[in-house]
Amino acid sequence: MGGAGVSFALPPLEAMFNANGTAHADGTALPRRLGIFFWGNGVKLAHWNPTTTGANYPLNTALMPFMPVRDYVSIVSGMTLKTGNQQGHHAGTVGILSGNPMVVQPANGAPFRSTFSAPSIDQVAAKVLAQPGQLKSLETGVSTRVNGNEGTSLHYLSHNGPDSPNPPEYNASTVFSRLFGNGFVAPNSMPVTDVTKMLRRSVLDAVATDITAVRARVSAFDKARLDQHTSNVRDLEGRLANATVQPAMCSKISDPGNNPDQGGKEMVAEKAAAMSTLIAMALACDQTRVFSMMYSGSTASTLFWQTMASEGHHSMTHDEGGDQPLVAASTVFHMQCFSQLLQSIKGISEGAGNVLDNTVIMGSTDVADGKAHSITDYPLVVAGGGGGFLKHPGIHYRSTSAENTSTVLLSVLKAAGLPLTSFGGGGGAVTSSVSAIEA
Amino acid sequence: MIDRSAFRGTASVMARWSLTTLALAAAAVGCSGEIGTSMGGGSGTPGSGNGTGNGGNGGPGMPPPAPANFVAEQGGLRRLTVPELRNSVTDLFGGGMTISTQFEPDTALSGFASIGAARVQLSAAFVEQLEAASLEVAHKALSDVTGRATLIGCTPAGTTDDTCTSQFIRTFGRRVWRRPLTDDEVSRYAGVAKGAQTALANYFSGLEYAVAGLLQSPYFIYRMELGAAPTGNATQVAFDDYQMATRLSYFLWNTTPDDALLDAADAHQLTKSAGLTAQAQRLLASPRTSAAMQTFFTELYRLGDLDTLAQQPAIFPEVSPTLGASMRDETLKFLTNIAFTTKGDYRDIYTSTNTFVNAEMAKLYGMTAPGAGTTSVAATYPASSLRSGLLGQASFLAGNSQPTRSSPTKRGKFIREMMLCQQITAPPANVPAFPETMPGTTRQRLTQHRTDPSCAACHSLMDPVGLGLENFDGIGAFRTMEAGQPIDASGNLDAATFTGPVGLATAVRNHSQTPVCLASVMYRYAVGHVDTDGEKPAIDALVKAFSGDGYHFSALLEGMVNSPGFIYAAKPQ
Repeated sequence: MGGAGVSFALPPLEAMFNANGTAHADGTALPRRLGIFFWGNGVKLAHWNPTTTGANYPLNTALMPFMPVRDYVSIVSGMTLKTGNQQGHHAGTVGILSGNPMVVQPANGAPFRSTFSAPSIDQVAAKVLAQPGQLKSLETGVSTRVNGNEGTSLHYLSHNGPDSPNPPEYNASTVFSRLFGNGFVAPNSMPVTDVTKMLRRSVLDAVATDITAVRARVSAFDKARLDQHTSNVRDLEGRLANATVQPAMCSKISDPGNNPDQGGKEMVAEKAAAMSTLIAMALACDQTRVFSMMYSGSTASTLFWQTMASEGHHSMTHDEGGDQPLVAASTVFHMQCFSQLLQSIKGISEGAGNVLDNTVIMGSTDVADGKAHSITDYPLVVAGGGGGFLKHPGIHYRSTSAENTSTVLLSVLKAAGLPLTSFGGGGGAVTSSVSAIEA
Repeated sequence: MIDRSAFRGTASVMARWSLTTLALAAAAVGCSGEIGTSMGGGSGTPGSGNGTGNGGNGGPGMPPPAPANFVAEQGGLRRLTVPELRNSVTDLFGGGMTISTQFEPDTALSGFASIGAARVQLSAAFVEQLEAASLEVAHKALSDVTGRATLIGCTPAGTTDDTCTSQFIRTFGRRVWRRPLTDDEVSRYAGVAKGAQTALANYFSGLEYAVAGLLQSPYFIYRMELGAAPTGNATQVAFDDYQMATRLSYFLWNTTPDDALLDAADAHQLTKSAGLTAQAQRLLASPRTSAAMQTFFTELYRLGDLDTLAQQPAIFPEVSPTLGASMRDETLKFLTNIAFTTKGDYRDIYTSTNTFVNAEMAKLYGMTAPGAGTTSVAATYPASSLRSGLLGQASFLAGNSQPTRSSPTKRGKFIREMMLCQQITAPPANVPAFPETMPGTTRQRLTQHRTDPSCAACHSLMDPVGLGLENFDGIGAFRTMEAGQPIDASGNLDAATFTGPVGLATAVRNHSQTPVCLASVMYRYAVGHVDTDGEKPAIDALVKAFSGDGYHFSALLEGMVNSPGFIYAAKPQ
């Protein structure tokens, strides 16, 4: 763009902590953050559920990868997804990510499709946590072998509402450019004010004026679309208007590359590791407080060649015989990637602890057991410290009364600092959280 | 918010229209002259120059009539798809202008990005990408000293020049927004330019911001298909001239209207039958229509997925980094040939043995194709190959397989859903334990799967169809044996029983639902939503136009342009 010549320096600021490292020096609390790690096609519960409850629970085979971060991991089992009992993969995905029933869209001779009826919890949190100048949320994806043919539910994790997905970015280089490319100011370097940012804001202002004019003429359905559009335009304006001050723990990292497929094989572990590094540093640099990693999609056909899988993951969960050892092995592999994410975040110190102490990450999937499309005894991981809100070390809580999975979502949102007393809709509505995992 | 109607009853497949309905529709053909004469009541003035205000229907000076029982769907905002956006920018700026900024992929709903574009909200990432792309394009265009003189059309007198700027925004803005700008709109973007020109002390650098604004405006990024012209029907409106120019252009050329179309809109020609036909004929006669329809074919037959072909090289040594693209190239050339070159009966896409293969595809198929290198050349499948039409092509066979094996279920599902417009219910939650999977052929395993009643309901509709293609493995190569046993490729599709791929292809070609489904998917693609019951008369008319013209693909396009669904909308609510 032309003429970016006018700039002047602003004094650098450093985030300082109070004496015991639990807050900023000025008394403001350390930021809370929320993330989601999602994988498709469930687990083998026999390898998943810990055999005892409470603290110091033994890690079952599928959970062994959490060993390096086990104090930060609580497992919740025995709960039932109650938002609806149709179309296992669809209902499970929408219900576990939003606590609300799915919207089934009239097909009229076209393929079945569904979408979310309400925001996924990352967006519920983003509305509260996102600060001016930050990315509202960061959506990343790992395996591209997703099912994009049945509406928005199965291949997009993050939703603002019906047919309003925040599609994930699968290319780590693109995520890198977005976070650490042009315009990124490393801590202790001289921030510059770029006059073109002001000009870009004037453009966005004119665009917003046009959107308002259009809004008066359109249907209620399109008004909602334009409102989302306007909100995104205003967020972008906010990012151009607010010079972000990077905390001292922030540092510029190098482009991790996009790890392209090799000979038809997806480099899933490498891609997940690259995304984990980017997410951790995005949190450290306070560029966003909300993130998600769609590691694999619901009904995804990802081939986990790393664990000797013989076919696409969704098919394998149906076709493999016996106790499904290959499915079980793939779950271990998923959890290695999840654990890697937790370790990346934990690896960055903040105050007296680390970034994971002030983060909550929900890990879950679209069905409990892929073979049966079951939505009872749902696998749920609640990881991180949640700013002291969550029990540390983590525990295994097993519901003996098939409680509502939304209670876990409410705990997760509370751990992110949201002052909620109820959450969810329809059969997913709850007024209590899982106090057992709360400190 | 929850529509549970899709779950009513236990029928797993609901044919779009029953045979009875089809018979009634066929009977109605004889009295079609009476359909559509009632709307509007002739209150308009044929040939009147006011264009957007016509109240009646019929006649060369009026919009084509809508059937009396046609209920229009609400008009709305359709975001430009990524190909539409890229093509529009190339055509607006000329000189081979392209956008290097990457956009997130379009969201297809019910098979088509055009349907997603009419429903899905813009994401934050897309708004960012659009901003970056618009700044990129504006900078490229206005830092090009030679090109910018032509683009701007006047010579600025200094760092700012209100007259030149306003003139440019008015002229260029009409192309970008596909309609004339109001004075207020011109002055808004002239103001953006002037502010930037002053700050940067450079006319052209400053003008970049106005151009970037025009490209980020909802008037560019959404097709504003709201309908404007009253029709004499209290709830129904006709699309105005500029909306019609936009609909014609993006449907038939996949890009922004050219000057001729906008001039026709200025002259209120596109809300009249004669003018609409003249412009449609001009567009249809151009090779740009067949180029644009590559998007339709690619989406309908999911040829885009071939870029991430998951077949494992250890099992399918034919796999190469270019194989998916070669498969797509075969199918697109094959379809284009029937639709636009030989102009044959489009249903022959299922039975034609004439195709186009490059060396890689010829090798996969085990056939000779003299002259084939990386470019596909015309070739004919030998009869012994059992290959026939689209269902025998690797794009379909591999695209509907598992990474390690064929999938009769996926193949059958695709035929039911996308080629016959029948509905397969998604699997329920909490299904009982499956019977144990035993080694054997795919047919044996699927047969066993169907012994479970909860699986059989849907699988008995998909598997016996897809099993007809078992002579082709998971990458689309021919085989006669699987797991040490000879292939049994018999099956059935509704009333038709068949043995082998050619039999299945013939059954699909001759299925009564095949032309109805083609008309339906064309309609959906063009109007950006799944047809509703109220629009059934428009589908019936399109099927009639298609069948009455020997099932030529061009009849679908012409029929679509004249369809009430293309011309009328319900008022936005």
